[in-house]
Amino acid sequence: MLSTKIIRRLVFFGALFSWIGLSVIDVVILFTTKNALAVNIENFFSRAFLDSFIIFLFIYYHFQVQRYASSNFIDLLWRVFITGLLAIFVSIGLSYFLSIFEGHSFAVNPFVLNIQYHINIGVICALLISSYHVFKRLILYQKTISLLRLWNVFEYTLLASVLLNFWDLEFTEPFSLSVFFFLTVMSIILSVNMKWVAYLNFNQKLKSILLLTLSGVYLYYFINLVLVRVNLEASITLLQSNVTIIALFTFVSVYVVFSILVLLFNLPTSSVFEQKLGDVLRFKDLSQTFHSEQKDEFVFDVLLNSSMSAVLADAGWLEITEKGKELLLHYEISGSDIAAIKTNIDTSKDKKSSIFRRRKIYSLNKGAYKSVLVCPINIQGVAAGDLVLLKEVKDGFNKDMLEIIETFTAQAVISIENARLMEEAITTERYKEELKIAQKVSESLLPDRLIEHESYEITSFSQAADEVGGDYYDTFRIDDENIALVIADVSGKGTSAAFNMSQVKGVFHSLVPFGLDPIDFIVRANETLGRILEKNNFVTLSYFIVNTQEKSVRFVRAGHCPTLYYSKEEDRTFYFKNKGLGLGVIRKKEYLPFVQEIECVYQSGDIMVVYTDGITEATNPEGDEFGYDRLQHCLTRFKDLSALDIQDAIIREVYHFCDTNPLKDDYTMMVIKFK
Amino acid sequence: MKFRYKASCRKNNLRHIRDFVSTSLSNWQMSETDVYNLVTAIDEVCANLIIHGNDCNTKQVFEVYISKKEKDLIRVDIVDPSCIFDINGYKMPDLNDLIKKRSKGGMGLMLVKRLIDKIELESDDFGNRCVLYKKLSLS
Amino acid sequence: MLEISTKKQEGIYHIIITGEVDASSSIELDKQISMALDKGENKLLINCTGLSYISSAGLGVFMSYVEPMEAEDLKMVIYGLSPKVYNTFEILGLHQVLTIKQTEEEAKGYLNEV
Repeated sequence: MLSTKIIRRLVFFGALFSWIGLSVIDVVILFTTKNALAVNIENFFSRAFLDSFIIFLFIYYHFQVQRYASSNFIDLLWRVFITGLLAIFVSIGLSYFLSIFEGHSFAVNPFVLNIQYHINIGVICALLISSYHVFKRLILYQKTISLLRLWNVFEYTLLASVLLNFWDLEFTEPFSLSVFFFLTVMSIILSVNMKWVAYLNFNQKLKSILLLTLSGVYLYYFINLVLVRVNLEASITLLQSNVTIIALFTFVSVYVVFSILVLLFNLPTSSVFEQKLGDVLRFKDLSQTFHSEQKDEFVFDVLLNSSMSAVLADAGWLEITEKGKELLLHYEISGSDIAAIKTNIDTSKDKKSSIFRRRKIYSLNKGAYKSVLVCPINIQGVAAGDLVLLKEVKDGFNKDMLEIIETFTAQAVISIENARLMEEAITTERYKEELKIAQKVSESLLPDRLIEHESYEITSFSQAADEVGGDYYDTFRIDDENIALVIADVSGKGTSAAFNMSQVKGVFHSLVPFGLDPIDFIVRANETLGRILEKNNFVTLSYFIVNTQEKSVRFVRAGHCPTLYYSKEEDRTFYFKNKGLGLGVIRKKEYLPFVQEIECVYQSGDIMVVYTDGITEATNPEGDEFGYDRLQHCLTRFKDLSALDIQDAIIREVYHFCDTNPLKDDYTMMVIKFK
Repeated sequence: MKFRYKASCRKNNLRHIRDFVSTSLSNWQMSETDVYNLVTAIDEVCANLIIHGNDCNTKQVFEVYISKKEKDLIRVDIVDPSCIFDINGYKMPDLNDLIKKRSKGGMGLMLVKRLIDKIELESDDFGNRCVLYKKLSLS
Repeated sequence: MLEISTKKQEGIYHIIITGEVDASSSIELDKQISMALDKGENKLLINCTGLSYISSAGLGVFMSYVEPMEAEDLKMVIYGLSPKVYNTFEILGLHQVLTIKQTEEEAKGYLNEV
């Protein structure tokens, strides 16, 4: 595809070529007529060149005006003016040049006059067509579909009228006249579209009037030159018989006249429009304050300033008393004056409660300010403060102003609310992200598999109530005979629990290889955890060492749930009774006195169940806890099953018991059945 | 089942030792009086060990083991690495003498001897061992 | 844990013992009794209804005041011992040396005897 730049150039040269062709043909025709030569050159070529000139020029200016897409109305009018000025210079310059040779045969030479005439034709065509395109832009400003259709009809008819000339139909012929008449009517209808005028301020309107008037003068000059004072003898191509040119002229003239009139009539109301336009722009400012992520204070500052200038208030203040936040912005008024006005309004209206928090216009008799406008500010449906504007004149405010201020306030509040919502959303998102990480961490802290041994079966189960669990269990082979087991419940929920859990795992794995006695292990663990856990955080834990050689289990518990045991020999289930304080509870004093170790010798068929309080404290919809008795009863019932089946059976019982109640805490359980 | 407890030589720890003894004994079925008497006897031996044996040296740690021998016999081992008091060789003071002397102590071991059925003293690699045997009353 | 509170009513000095008296806490009991005697109290009523345990050290405290009280004609009475605690007194034969009553009335009655 050709770029518009190349098309523009091609079209320009097409126009130039057509113009030269027109001039040459006319001169040749003139020459042959003068000298009565029998060379028969048809006027047809002259007409064809004129038509192609008009069309090329039309296309050229179509692109040319498009280039100024971003320019404002005054700039567009300025271009029309400049084009006209140049045209005038060319035309007058040419006339002056010829006048130098006055009295000389050169000055009355029909060929010279003919060339001057052709230059004038070119210039006026350029002026008319460029004006046409500029006015098209103005008319189609804020266009509707119907307007666009109407315009297209006009434009295509105008272009089609070129054909009239091509076929050499005289202007006076009925068909030509009716086309001209149609185009004139269309011009008048289309010229009513003057929306752009409303967007000009007073000065711009004055400028526009000036530019349009001058453009009108040029038009008159050229029309006079080409259409009226034409030297018929020296002219072959006559524009006054060209419907297109006349119609263009009519359109441009009509629009110039209409524009000037409308601009003139609009001059007095400019200030009102300017005010409204200012309101709109300030409103835009308010809306945009949100996008720039400004603080509340900034938004309120814009609100106060915009409101002040919107209603031309002399002074004003904005007071916000949200919980945890107080803000007083004042403008052209001191704090003491504010207090004075407040009491003034209070007494004048004799209201028990404060007058504020209601939208209202007041008039005062005392003080410098006679008019007061109050607009409450509600953020998220809660009264947050007031915007108060003051004027020195009496009855300075009206209902419309109050409405504008309300709109402003509403917009400012939306900005603030949006900003807050956005902030909340970001925080929530961040929290979710954190939780995801914590969840991954806590899952990775639990062992993939437990240490197996031929002398026992072992299984484990863990289910977190939240995304992040605080339960930990693990196993470790100390040596050939000794295997350590641990189960722990970390205080806190979510991320902090997962964090503490990783500390517990670290402590377990660093201490367990030493093969310490359970008592010593737990004392050391307390020492370390007491140092690293956050204040008020603690860990309950049970630590076991299974000696497969001696067939014994030695264990301690630090505030953790008592261990459930089934003794095959005695055929009874019971909880081991020993005591111990949670780790991290005692940090300064000696922890040793709070540890009681139990050693028990196991026999084949004995079962040990360790668990966290999520199991015993699971509640059903009635609010009853699963409790120790139910758990003990479960083990008695399922004692003959394998470790895995015992675990599954107990978990099933717990879920069955909870019924519809959701998990409140993490469930963790390990079942060890000795062989 | 065997219960083990470690304590540093601190008079304040006596109450924790009593708690350990009563908690541990609660794993077996036995009468309240037996529990109370065992608690008292162990408390007295430990108090004697802390105050007289180790001069309340808090760095010193001793151990208490409780286990059940046969159906109705409780064995308590009190193991101290450094010293031991020969309870069996201890001559009982006369109560009236103590009153005259306005003495506050001297009755602890007397109490132990009357509450416990048999006292043995041993020494091995772990230290000195005072073993108390108590036959449970039939309940 | 041991808690001791004192009060004076109708010429009788009450010492109320709650908790356990062992080698560690007997010092507190000794302090309270000697303070009462220093104040010149001559009728001491020891309320042991809340006493859950007493070791020989605690018994020794009571025993050490037997002789000085007789010498200065002061009266001290213990009441409200639980059977288990009383058993300890009994084993050592202290029930014969100390004045022990079952109820507060009996104890007061003893103190108010002329």
